[in-house]
Amino acid sequence: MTNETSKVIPIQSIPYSRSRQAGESQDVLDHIIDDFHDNPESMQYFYDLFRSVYCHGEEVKHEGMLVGTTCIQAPEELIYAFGATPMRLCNGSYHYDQKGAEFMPSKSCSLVKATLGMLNSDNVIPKIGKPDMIVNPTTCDQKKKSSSMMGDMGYKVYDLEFPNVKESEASRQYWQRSVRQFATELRQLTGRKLTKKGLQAAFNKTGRAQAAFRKLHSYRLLSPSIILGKDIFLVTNAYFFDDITRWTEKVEALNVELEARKQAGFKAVQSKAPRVLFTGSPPIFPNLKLPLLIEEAGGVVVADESCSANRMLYDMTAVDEWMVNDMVDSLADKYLKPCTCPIFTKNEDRKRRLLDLVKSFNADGVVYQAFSGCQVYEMEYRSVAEAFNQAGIPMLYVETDYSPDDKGQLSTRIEAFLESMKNRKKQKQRAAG
Amino acid sequence: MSSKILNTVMGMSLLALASTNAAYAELLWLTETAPPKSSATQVADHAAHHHAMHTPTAAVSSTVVTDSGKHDHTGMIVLDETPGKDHRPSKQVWLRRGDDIKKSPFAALDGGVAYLTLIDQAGKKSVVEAGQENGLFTLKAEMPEVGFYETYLEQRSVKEGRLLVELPKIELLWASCQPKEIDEEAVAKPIINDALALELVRIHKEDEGCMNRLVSGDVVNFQVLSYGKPIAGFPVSMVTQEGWRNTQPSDASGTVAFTMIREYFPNWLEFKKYHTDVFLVSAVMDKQEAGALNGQPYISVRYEATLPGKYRPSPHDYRSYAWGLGISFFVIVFGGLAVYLYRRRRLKPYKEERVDDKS
Amino acid sequence: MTNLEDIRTAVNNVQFNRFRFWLQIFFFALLVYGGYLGIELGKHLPTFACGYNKELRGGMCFLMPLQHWMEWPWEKLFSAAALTILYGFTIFFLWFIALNRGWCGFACPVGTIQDWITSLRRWTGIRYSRYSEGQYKGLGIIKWVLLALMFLIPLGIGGGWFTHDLKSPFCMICPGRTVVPLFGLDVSQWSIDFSSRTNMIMTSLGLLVTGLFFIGAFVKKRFFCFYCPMGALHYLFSKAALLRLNKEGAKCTRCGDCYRVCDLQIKEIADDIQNKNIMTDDCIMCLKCVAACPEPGALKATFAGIPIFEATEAGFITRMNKGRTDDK
Repeated sequence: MTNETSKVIPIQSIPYSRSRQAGESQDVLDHIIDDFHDNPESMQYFYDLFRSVYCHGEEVKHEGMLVGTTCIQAPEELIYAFGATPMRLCNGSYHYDQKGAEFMPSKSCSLVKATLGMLNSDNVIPKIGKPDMIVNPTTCDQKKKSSSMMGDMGYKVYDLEFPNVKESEASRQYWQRSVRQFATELRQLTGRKLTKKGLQAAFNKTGRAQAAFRKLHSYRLLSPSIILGKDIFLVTNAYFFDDITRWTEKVEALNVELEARKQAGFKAVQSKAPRVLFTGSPPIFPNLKLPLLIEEAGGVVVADESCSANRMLYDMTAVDEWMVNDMVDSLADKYLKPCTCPIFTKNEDRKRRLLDLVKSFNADGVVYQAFSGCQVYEMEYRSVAEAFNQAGIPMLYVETDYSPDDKGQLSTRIEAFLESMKNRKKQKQRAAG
Repeated sequence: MSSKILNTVMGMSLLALASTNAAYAELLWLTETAPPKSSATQVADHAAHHHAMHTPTAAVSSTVVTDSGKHDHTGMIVLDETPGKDHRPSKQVWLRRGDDIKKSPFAALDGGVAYLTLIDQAGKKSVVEAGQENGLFTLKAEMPEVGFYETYLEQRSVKEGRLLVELPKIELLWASCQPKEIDEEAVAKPIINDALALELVRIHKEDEGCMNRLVSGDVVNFQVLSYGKPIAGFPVSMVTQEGWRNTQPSDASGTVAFTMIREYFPNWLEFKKYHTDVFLVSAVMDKQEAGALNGQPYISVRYEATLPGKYRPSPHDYRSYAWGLGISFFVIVFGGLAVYLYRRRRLKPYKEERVDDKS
Repeated sequence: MTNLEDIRTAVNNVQFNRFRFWLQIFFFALLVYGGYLGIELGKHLPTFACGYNKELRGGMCFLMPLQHWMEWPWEKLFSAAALTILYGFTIFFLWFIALNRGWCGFACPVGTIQDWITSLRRWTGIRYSRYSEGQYKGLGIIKWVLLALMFLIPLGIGGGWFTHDLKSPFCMICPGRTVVPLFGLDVSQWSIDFSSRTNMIMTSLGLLVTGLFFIGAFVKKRFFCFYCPMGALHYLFSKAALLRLNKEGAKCTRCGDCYRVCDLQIKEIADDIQNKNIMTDDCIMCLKCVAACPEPGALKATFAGIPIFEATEAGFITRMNKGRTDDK
């Protein structure tokens, strides 16, 4: 018998831009643009980009096949060399986080939940289309396990075997072999061969992008800062999905503008604004919660050690002999050796890097973000705290996730932290001068 | 009077005949080789011995300048040298008589002192007094600089109306392996003694520099000069250690060429790279000159000039390029193959870690 | 001061490979053909300016006179004549401390020849070989063994134990003896000397090593330098030298770029973050590591404490970019 209840009023489909998901991105973007003064003009491109992709749900075009990556350890240059386009799938949307929570354990990392939630949904934003392959480096536990989940969702997943011990020669050989096998896999996927010219062109692209980033990075050394951290995060987050050549050009334009700012002695913040080093779980748009809170409270994020920004673009590849075999092995080494991800057994390199960043950027303090559920970052906190303690650098540890509920509490903590940093600085100056 | 003339004529005619033979038997020459140590046993009567060996026509044979010559037939004279002997700044020379290089006896000079002239590369002359050692004439020549020194001895005596002027000469060398330390041109220039009536000069090889590098198989050029001027068409003789003898007339520029023959045929395992063979080059000139020496008159003069030299086995005897290239080619080919196969083993995956019962 | 800064920047951003290529040619011409122009730098050079290249050389490798002296009879060796040896060592030392092991990386003719062979290999597209860790550790002792033998064998000659034919034992096995005179069109060293058993063995060994040298240098960058006793001798004095390779551990990200480009596979450059002076006994101071380091100030070459070539971002980008675009 027919059910009355089966007569359901159909929900009118609404355009994406009016969905709650888009609203989330909209709010963050508006906040970034409107609530801060003197945004650099070159940033307009990035604002428009995010608006079109995240708020309007416009399509993101790509060349050749699409290879999705879930971690920065997947060698992009190889993907470019085969004529495909890599895109980082790591997602920062609370909407997808909630979606993912439906089938993920409750104590999972928000990032993985959001990524899986995104991949599981019908309407994937950013609208990149279905990836022809997803490369999943076996880095952290949750990424590892999501590999089969992604497979079940209907994606072609390739497990890129990544070692967990950095120091041993065995790991290095293992990883080089993984990368070479990945190259073989890509050849099967794309049906193209790996040529020296193709690989050199790929190196060119990423090399240029890395050089542009390094220049941008160097502008953040200036004190008082000439650009805010929120913009930098936006720039690096754009790298996930934007066309690399265009991205590079826009960053180079930004650099030109920053040079002009430098010459003019422009100040983006107050002279006494506390300089903060941001480290830990990666802030991905729209989840720029913590950096925005810091900068709202009057601080400035001058440097960061996170995989959605600095770590993604900082390390450059050196090659001795420009032949395919040496280029691929050099690439493998570059992705493994300088990596400061906490998924490794030891974290000596990360500590040294943090200390070096604090010193060169003249940071006053460190904010360490760990997503709840991110076992590795949480566990590393202790040793990093000890290192900073010995160096006499104040650190704020924040355990949070994508939900906006703890904004108020965090804001208070951050303000207090910044205040204490200011006081320490004053005391130091008084003691010195 | 007529017997005298007859004697002279006979003497002169026999000169041509015998000049190739007996004249050489009594040649006086200088040598660097030391006498054997057993020359303590000195055998008597040099003069008697020599007279017994040769024709009674005394005119053709030059008498020994000294009569109390002591010599030793029995001691074997060792001619081998240790390498590097040429690299010292002082040399000792002895005098020997007779052209049997292996057996000719060491001589002494009696009657006071003998003087030797040394001429260095710059043409500077110095006169050194000879001495005696164990009754034998000897001279220790000090060479102030690296290079060649020509050492001359002059002995005059009159016998049966003929003045015999013996002009043994020896080329001494303070050698140097450093081509940079020496002036190659100066060293290559032959040193000539203008005051001598008869002189033999060895023309150095082009790349000789400051080393004694004569080897068997080399063509060695000598020039025969009189008072510094070359003499053409003059017979020059060479005798080698084993007794091989060759006489050649000099060409228009006074040059004679001899090829050093190989005389060293040892057991292969006993082959010595630095084995030295000695040769002796000599020239004899007769002139009709009259005069007197110490009251003794003479009507003809005979000049005898000698020049010894040393040479070593040719590198072609013991050096092989074929082997050298063969070995390196072999190593390159097989070594290269080995490396290639070794590199290919990388295609076999990770078998390097092994565990077995013993470990 | 801006002038100094400009010079510094120009030096740090130089196209390093090209610069090194031309500097090596200059030293090669000087040491192998210098005699033609009357240049004589003496017998105490700390590099393989082979003494067997008799006519044309511009100076002589110190190992030749050194072995010659060690061969003196002991009475002479332990007498006042030893002052000559002391003098010789002093001159050697003075030459050495100017460039430290840069003599190896920039001046050594045998090193330059190996670099040319490497270029040939690159042109053919054949990849290079690396030693495994075990091989590296094991084979690294050979240079010290050769250094010891280089002293002990001549001493044995002087003491009367060994035949004189064993003179200059290292020269007999050195590839410089056979290869450098070739550039003066002198092939006399390529013969086997049958005049005595020892000579036979030594000359055969020498040509064996020459054969191995060619193969090794083809597949391995700077193959012979790993076994070179001159290098071992250098290392004994290297702490006193003026030219140094310094590292600032705090700036190092351990990216391993320096290790990747190092011809001698020295891992310590990348891994050691404690020491300031990171020159190991294998290092030939070619400074490729400094050229390949992307972290400003992490690696630098200093002369008497003054940095003369530092790692900079701009320099790295220029150099690596050149590789990306046109194969040098």
